[in-house]
Amino acid sequence: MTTPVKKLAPRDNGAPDYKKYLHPMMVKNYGKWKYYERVKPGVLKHVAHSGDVLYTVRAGSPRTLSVDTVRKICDVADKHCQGFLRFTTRCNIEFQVTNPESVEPLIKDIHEILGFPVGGTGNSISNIIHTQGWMHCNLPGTDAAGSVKALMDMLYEDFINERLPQRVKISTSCCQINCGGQADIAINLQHHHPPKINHNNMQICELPKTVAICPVAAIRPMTVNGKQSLDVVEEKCMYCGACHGQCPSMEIRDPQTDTLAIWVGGKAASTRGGPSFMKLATFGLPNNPPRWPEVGDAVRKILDAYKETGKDYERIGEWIDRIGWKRFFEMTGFKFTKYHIDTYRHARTTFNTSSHVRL
Amino acid sequence: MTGDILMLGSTNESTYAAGEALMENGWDIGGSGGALRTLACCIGPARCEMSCYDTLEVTKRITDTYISQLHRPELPYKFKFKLSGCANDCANSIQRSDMPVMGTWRDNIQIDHEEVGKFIAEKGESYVIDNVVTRCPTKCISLKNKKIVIDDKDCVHCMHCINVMHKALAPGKDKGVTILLGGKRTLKIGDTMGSVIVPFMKLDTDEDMEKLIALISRIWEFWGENGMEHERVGEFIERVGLGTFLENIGIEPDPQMVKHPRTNSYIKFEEYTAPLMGGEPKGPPSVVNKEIEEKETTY
Repeated sequence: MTTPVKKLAPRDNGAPDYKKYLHPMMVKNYGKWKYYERVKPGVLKHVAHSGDVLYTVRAGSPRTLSVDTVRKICDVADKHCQGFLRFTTRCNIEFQVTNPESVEPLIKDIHEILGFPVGGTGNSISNIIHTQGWMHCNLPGTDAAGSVKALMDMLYEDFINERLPQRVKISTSCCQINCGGQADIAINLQHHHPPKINHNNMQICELPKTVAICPVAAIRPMTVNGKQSLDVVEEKCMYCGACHGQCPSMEIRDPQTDTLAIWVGGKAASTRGGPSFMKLATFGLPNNPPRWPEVGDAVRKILDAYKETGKDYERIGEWIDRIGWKRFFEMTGFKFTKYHIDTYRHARTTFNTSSHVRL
Repeated sequence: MTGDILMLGSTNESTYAAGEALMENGWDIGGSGGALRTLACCIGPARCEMSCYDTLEVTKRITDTYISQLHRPELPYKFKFKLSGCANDCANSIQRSDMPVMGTWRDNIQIDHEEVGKFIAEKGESYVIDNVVTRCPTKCISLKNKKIVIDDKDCVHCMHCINVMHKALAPGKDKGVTILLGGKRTLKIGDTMGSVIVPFMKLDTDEDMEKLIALISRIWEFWGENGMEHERVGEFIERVGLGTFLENIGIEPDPQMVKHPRTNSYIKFEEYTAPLMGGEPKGPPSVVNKEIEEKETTY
């Protein structure tokens, strides 16, 4: 008799002891840090009240890593950092050393052994947050890792230098659920027609759940060829693809018609004016693998205009608030259309209700 | 962004073996569906002088308290916590979590006048005016005789001046957290940000932690009982109204919860409306009446 296979019953282990995974210098000075300095792009120096100093070298990672790459990263951390490293929310790897003499050899190994760029600190373009894409999501209309690679190749100099008015965060999303999130510049996929329903395969789905998830109540039950299925009211449908997440038989993706749109001005921090959502800048860019050149051109236009007229500490959204959307569209060359005017809930709160106009 | 490790590429059999091996080594697997999601936090006191509370410790405490909810989906929809030590919000909590917990302080910004002098000497007065004084959202900071003067009662703790002059300025000493509720990404009602439900609370002691846990439990109880399938807590608040929500989780309304009071005049004052005028007891608000809901969603 063979032993019965365990079915992954949750063990409820709880969160691991985080102090076991922090660099010893971080444990020693936990809560007792005094200030930090940016030594150069990609290198931070944190000073504790005790006088202890910790240097952090930040390297861009491709986010999805093979076991071999993970081992190489760990080898670098073993050699220089007493075996400790950490990942930032933007999937950069941070290596920490206590001796300033170790910084340059560490950077050399990051370049030579890992082939990763060092940067992403201060007023740079940090690593791009992206969704799962073709790698293993069941919903993507476009790729994520591939388009990020193409973009980062173009933006490399802005990752390893700190030469922008303020930091710029970029995200990409491969469907309209937009897991990529808010960012200074976001590249998101747009669908252009209602889902195509495979009525013969709808029985694999939980139909009531699929009806319930529609944000505009456009889905209703229907019997097709004697089988339980669903119908979409096309006038109501806004092509969000929420139903596709619930039910794979409602196909929203279409390689012939899906396009990409660029959104600008998202900001997470509560600094200055508080957090903000991003707004539509341009749309209808072709979903054009493997290099998405049209997207790269559009991002470059936004960054060039921002570099030219952005002031210190102004994020892209704050810069546009100051110069106005009229000038933003003039500088980037994007056309302002009726599709830029909001039609969803609270659309009216986005209209200009003053006589403030730039002439 | 989740802080989870995703391991890709295993077969059905090896997935079970890998899951068992991970759990045997002290790691949990899970955190998807209508459950508590893996918590995320900023680096906090481990390597940041700006962190106003112990984000790592609070993350561990909440995870350990609610580890069962992380593995056994029993909520109307997902619930995410993200914890940031200050308003810089490195954990992206206001936009991306149902319950953002943000570090803050309620006394005065600490000023090191010697460092202020050095900063002005190095950068010049006009740099300080352009990048610190005029960028303050409430205009509570000024430069007088080469000294920084802050009117702290108007400070909204946005961190900007501290970010620019981080050697000269630091958060106050009486630290705590601001708790918000209802952030989520775009699906269904469009993006929502969290909004304030607790303007300030201390989060240092075990008793403070118990208060936070009790608050979370009250929120889950009310939302869990009355939330609809696939309804995030922010969407739920939008449906039932923030006033009703506060009443049911036992929190007093506070002007800090809104940008400004309401502007539309159509109000149902419960005190003036029948049957209360006849002295009859007050029933549950109709928006959370389960019977009505079931009728509406019957398929």
